[in-house]
Amino acid sequence: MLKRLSLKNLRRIIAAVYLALFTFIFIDFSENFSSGFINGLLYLQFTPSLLKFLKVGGLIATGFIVVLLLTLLFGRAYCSFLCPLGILQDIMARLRAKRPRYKYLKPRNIVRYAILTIVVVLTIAGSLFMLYLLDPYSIAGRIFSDFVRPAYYGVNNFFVMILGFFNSYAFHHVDFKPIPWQGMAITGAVVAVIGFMAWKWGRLYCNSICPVGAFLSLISRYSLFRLKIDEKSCIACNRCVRDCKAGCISLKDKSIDFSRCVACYNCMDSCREGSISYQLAFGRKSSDVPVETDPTRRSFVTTFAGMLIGLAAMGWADKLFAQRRIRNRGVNQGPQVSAAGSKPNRRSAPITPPGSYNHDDYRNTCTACHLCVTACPSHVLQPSFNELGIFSMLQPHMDFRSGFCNYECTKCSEVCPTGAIRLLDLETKKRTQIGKVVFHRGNCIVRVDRTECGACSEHCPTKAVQMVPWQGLLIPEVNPEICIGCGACEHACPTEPYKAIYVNGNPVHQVAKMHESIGNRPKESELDDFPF
Amino acid sequence: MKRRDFLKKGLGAGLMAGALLKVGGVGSVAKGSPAASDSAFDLVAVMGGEPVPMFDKAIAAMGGLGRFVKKGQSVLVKPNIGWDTAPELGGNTNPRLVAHIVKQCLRVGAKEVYVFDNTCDNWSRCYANSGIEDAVKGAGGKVVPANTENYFKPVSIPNGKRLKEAKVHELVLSCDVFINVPILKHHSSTKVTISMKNLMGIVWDRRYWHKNDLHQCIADFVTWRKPDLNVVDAYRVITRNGPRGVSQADVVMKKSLLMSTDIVAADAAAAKIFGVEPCEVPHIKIAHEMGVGNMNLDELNIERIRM
Ligand code: SF4
Ligand code: SF4
Ligand code: SF4
Repeated sequence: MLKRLSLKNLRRIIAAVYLALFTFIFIDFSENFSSGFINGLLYLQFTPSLLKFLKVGGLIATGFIVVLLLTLLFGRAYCSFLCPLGILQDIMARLRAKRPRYKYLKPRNIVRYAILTIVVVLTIAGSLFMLYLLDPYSIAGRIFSDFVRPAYYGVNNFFVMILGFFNSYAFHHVDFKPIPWQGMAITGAVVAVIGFMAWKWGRLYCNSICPVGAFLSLISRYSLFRLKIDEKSCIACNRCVRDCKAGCISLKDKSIDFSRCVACYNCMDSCREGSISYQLAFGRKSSDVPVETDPTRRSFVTTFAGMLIGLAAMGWADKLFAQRRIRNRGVNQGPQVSAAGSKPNRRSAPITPPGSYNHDDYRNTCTACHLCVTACPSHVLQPSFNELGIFSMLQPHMDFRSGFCNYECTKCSEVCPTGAIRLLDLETKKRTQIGKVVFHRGNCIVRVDRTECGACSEHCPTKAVQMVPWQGLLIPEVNPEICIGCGACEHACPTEPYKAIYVNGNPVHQVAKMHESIGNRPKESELDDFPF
Repeated sequence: MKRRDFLKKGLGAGLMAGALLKVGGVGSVAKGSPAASDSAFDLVAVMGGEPVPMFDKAIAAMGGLGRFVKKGQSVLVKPNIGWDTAPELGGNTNPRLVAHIVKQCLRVGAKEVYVFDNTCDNWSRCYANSGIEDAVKGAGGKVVPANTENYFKPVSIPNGKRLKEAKVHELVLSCDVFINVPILKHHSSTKVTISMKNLMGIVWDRRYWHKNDLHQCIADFVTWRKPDLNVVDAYRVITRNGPRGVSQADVVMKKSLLMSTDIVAADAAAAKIFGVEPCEVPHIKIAHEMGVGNMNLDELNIERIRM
């Protein structure tokens, strides 16, 4: 009974476990996993690791080197074992009544390397839009964080409701903060295209569009060990071709295009003659075998590529107006009792999380995987629409309508795998000024209605908003120098649709001054008798 | 979403009747201020001890916790857990005091003791870092979420001037006994925050209060439901930069505790300890004028205990 575990089954087990954990860290709302565990799990994710290496460096960012070495040894194992989008595509391909029968596909080298070139050039030029639109890790992150997470919340809330019937509070209800639909639509469209391609043609995305796949293919051409068909024992039964989701086995010359092989090892299991195995292939270059093309597929892929190039051009244009002013958008919550909050105000710049240091760096490093969106316990990090510029769409920004940055928290900086949000120790974070407070007196309830309010000052952790005497009442007074831009005041301010207090982002983060009272010793009681 | 309704209507009258029988008759589940009149004192003030012994002294002077909590009753203990700050910073009610009250409630026979707050900072971190979650769990109480609107049910406040309705945590509606355990603190806009202000943590939409004459709303809400007992933690007191406090330098050790069934009296006495006159705190004054309680301390029978 004890059969040796085939490489294919080993791959399936590792991929399934990995995807399950990966999914969970992207939907979890109760900080079940430590940041260290999350860092470990994402260590080998190629794109974030590479970006982090370029931006921050350090041991934690060496994962992509491991992947490169692995590829140099055994080919694109990353694509089948660790790439979350790859594993998802494999699942997609199995969602059909009959087992898929694949055919040999012609390589689409011009397309895949053209896309890779565009992505690389744009990335170097400073726009990550194309990269994060196509990067498999980031797409998978968005699928889980934006689509699966709300469903998971829904299931959780359903159970909370059921438990509520039994008076149990063992689990808690959680609200999903809506994501801009435009971003959801883009992710949804990309997912639909990839899902369809996977369903129809297996790993076509990985071999014609995916920039990581294209990059790794350049290396797997020179892998030390490659899968080979033993020409003598092969009976050309076509079984391996039928099972090859990359469409890279050509029986015409009994060859495997190892640059497109995703190392799934289906062929090894399907070959009854045992003709397929890893062979030492030192120094030899694997060749592409030109075969007749499928016109529909070709035009599909070229159209897609054309669209991407168009988008890329727009990405360039975007750089011209990325820094425009962003309106402090209001949400209408029914009829207004008070005139407080009726005067429009505008933010001079958006707000990025503590640890992102400056907006340009952040935009050039964040791949919009939405891990921080999931991890932020305050739900203040939300995918942007045009706050950071339209070609930074989906990169998270601080949305003070959803929440505010918790003073004692550094979670996003701990989990961010790309280095867009860099690790901060708590004391540094508490001094990191991501924006500065602005008080708009004309919208303030104290000024307009002449009643006390002070929600802003109440919530401010640095007391950069103080309430000072004004016509028998207390009105806010701000001290932007000690403000850290956490948005607590803006979030708490009850005026609608415009806030009477809000934060202007710092395009380059600064260090806030400290409140003058900090550092004194606590006082002993000055009470020696009851004052009544 | 209406889990209480489901419980009441869905499961039917038979089940409810059974439940009533089980805890020993209608009287024991009836709500309201239990036996407020048979106390010798209107207010007990203790000074100079640690929070837990001060509570013990005060509750003994009040005639024992058994006066308030009967066997088989469910109890809600509402501390201030508003901020993600450590206990030494005085932003939240002393965790040892809260745990002790929970334990004492269970000792006198409470069926269940619940603790929650609709926090200002992130709720799970407030619960954890205030030390209250662990302390209460250790004492056998239940720490309950109040983080989404789902847990809050609408009530109407007929005697309110500005606040006519509010959404209140379902446990306030279902628990037999309500013990309010605020901490005395400076507050940037309401000058002090004590017992009445602490009730903003059992409602959902605080923004409405801020928008519609905050002090009036605070007083209005108490006309709907007065806690059965107020225990004011005035041990570590934030005297400036409240209600959150910026650093430990804002804290003064006042080492006091106040206890009263009259929420206005408790707040008046605490205001004095803080160093402001009760009539200078608008919501105390308004509540007094609305007849919610008495802020004139010289009209009250006060037990003063020095430790
Ligand atoms: S530091 Fe602020 S933005 Fe980042 S995860 Fe924590 S609360 Fe969210
Ligand atoms: S003023 Fe506002 S943004 Fe600045 S630290 Fe205070 S609450 Fe945060
Ligand atoms: S929260 Fe502050 S700024 Fe906003 S209305 Fe109230 S007092 Fe004015």
